[in-house]
Amino acid sequence: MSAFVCEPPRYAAFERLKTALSAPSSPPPLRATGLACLDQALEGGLPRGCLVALEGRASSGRYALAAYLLARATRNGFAAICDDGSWYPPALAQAGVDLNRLLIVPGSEPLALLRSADLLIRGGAMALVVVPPLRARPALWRRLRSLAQNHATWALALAATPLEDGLALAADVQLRAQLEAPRWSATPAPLTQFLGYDVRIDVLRARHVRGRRSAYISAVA
Amino acid sequence: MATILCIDIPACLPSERGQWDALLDACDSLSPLLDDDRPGRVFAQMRGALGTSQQWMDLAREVCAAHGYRAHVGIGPNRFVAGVVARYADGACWEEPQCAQRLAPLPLAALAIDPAIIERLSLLGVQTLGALAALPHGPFVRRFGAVAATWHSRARGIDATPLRPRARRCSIEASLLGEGSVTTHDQVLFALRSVIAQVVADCERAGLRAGRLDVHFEMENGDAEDVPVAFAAPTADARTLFDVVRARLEGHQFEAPISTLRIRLHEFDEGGQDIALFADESHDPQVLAATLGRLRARHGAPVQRAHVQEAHLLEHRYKYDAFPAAVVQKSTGVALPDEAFIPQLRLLRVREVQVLVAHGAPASVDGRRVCAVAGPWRVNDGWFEAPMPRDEYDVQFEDATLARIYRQGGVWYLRATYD
Repeated sequence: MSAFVCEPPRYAAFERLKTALSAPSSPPPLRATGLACLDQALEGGLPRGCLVALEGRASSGRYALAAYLLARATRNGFAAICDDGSWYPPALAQAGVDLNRLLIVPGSEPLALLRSADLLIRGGAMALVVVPPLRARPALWRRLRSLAQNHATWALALAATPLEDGLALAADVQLRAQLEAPRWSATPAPLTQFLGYDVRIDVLRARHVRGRRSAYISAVA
Repeated sequence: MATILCIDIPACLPSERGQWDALLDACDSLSPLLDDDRPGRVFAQMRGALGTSQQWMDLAREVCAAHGYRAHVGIGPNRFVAGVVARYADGACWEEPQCAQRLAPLPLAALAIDPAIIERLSLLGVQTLGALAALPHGPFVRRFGAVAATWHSRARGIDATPLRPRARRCSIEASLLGEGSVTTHDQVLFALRSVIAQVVADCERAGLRAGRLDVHFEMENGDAEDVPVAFAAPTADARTLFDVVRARLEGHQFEAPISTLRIRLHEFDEGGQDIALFADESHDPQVLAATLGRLRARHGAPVQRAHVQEAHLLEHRYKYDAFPAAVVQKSTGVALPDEAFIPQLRLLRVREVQVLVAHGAPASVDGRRVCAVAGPWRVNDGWFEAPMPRDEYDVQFEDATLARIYRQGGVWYLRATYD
C-alpha cells in the first residue's frame, strides 16, 4: 500500500508561500500632502508613485488642489503640467508654486498631452505631473499608472464627473472634489467681493484607505 | 599719454560670435593685452607698441576690414575715454589734459547708464557730461548712491577700471568623416558614441567640463545641420553626454544619409568636484536635461516656463519662455509664498455671451441665472491709444459655477472659471 507523502523541504516551502500570500500586504510608503485634513482622510497621505484621479465638476476646487500639490512638489524638486491652455500662472504663483521649477508642456490633442506626460514621468526628474481633463483609451491610463509606479512619481489626472471607466479602473487613488459653499463678502453691491469657497474632497478609492472618507478645505481667494 | 585703443563695431551682432572670435584672434597682432568687453567692442593696451597713434588706428581698421567689418576706432588715456572717442569721435586720439573739456558737450548716454537715471538727471537739468561733472561730488553721490561716484569721475575723464585680459578660448572638437555614409539610427548612435569618447578624452586631458555642445551633420546631398545641445551643468561624463544628445535626437529625421559627424564642445568649466545642484534631493540634474531634450525632439518646440509680470489685463500678467536646462538651482532668491489652497482661475477660450443686466449688474449669462456678483473692476489698458475700457465681474451661476466675465465695447465675454 502506498501513500502520498509530501517531501518535507517542499512542504515547508509551500507552507511559507501560503503564509506569505495570506498575510496582509505591507502598507505602501505614504507621502503627506501637507493638508492636514486630507492627510487624515487618506490615512497618512498618497503613496509615492501612483496615478491619482481627481474628478469634479467646474468650480469644484480640482485646480486649487492640484496647484497646492504643485507648490509642495516644487519646494524640493521639479513638477510639470501638460497644459491645455487653461492654467493661469499668476494664480499658480499665488498658491506658492515655484514657477522656475515648473515645466509647462503645451498641447491641445489628448494623445499628445498623454505622450508628454509619458515622457515626463519616464524621465524620472519630476515629482508630480498633472494631466488636464481628457478622454483616452484605458490602456493609456494603465500605462501611465505603471510608469508612475516604476518611477516613483505622482501622476495627477484631473477629470470631469463622472469619471470615465478607463481612468477609474486604472487609478490607484480616486478623489472627488465638490464645491460646498462659495463665500462672498457681506458688503452690498457693487462692493461685494468673492472671498473663496469651501470644498469637500471625497476619497472614493485608495488601496490603503478603508471605506469612504472626506476632507473639508477652505480656499481663500 | 593715451595708450588705450578701442575698436567699436556697432554692426557686430552677438549671433556672429564665431566671426568675432576670429577677429579677436587677429587683433592679437596689435597688442598682447586685449579686453573683449562685449561682442563688437575690444580694448587694446598699446603701451610700448611701435608706431604712432595714427598708425595703430590704421592697423586696427585694416584688421577689421579683412574680416568684413567697418570699425570705429579711438585712443584715450583710459578705458572709458577710449570707448567714448571710438563712439563719438571716430579716428581721434584724446590726451589726458583735454579729456574733461572734450567730454563736456557729450550727452549722458555716453556713460552707458540706465535710461531711467538719465531721464531723472534730465529732469534736474543735467543733460551733458559737462553739467554732470560740474555738480558737487558729495551731494551728488549721496543722492544717487555709491555708483554715482563712478559716473562723476568718468564725466571728468577719470576711469580707473583696468583692462581685463581676454581669456584664451579653448576648442575641443572631434569629427568622423569619409568612411561611408550612415543611414540607420543605430549607426548614428554608434558614430556619436565614438566621437563623444574622443571629445571626453580631450576634456579629461585638459581638466575641463563642457556646458554645451554642437553636433554638426553633413549629408550626402550636400545639406548640413547643426543641433545644439545644452546640459544642466557642465560635464565631462561620456554617458551623460551621450544620453542627453541621444534624447535631443530622438525622432529627428534626416533628409539624406549622413557623411560627416562633428562634435564641438563649448562653455567650458574647470574640472573638479561636481556641483551639488540638488542639495536636498538625490536627483541627477542631467536627467532633467535629457527629459527636456526628449520633449523638444518630440514637439519640435522647447518646454516652457512661466513668468509673472505686472499688467492690467489678465492675459498680460504672464509670459512664457523656454525652460533652460541649466536652471536647477533653488529658485530665484525671491521668497515664495507658503503653499496655499487658493481658487485657481481656469482660462477658457474667450467667447461672446448674452448677458441680461438688472440694476446695473449681470442677472443671467446665456440663460443661466446669476446668484451672486462681484465687480465691476474697470481696466483701461492702452487708454492713450484706443480707449476701450473693460469691466470685469466675478459671478456665481445657480449651479454654483464661479466665472469671470467682462464687458468691452458693449459686448459681453466669458473669460475664465474658478476651479
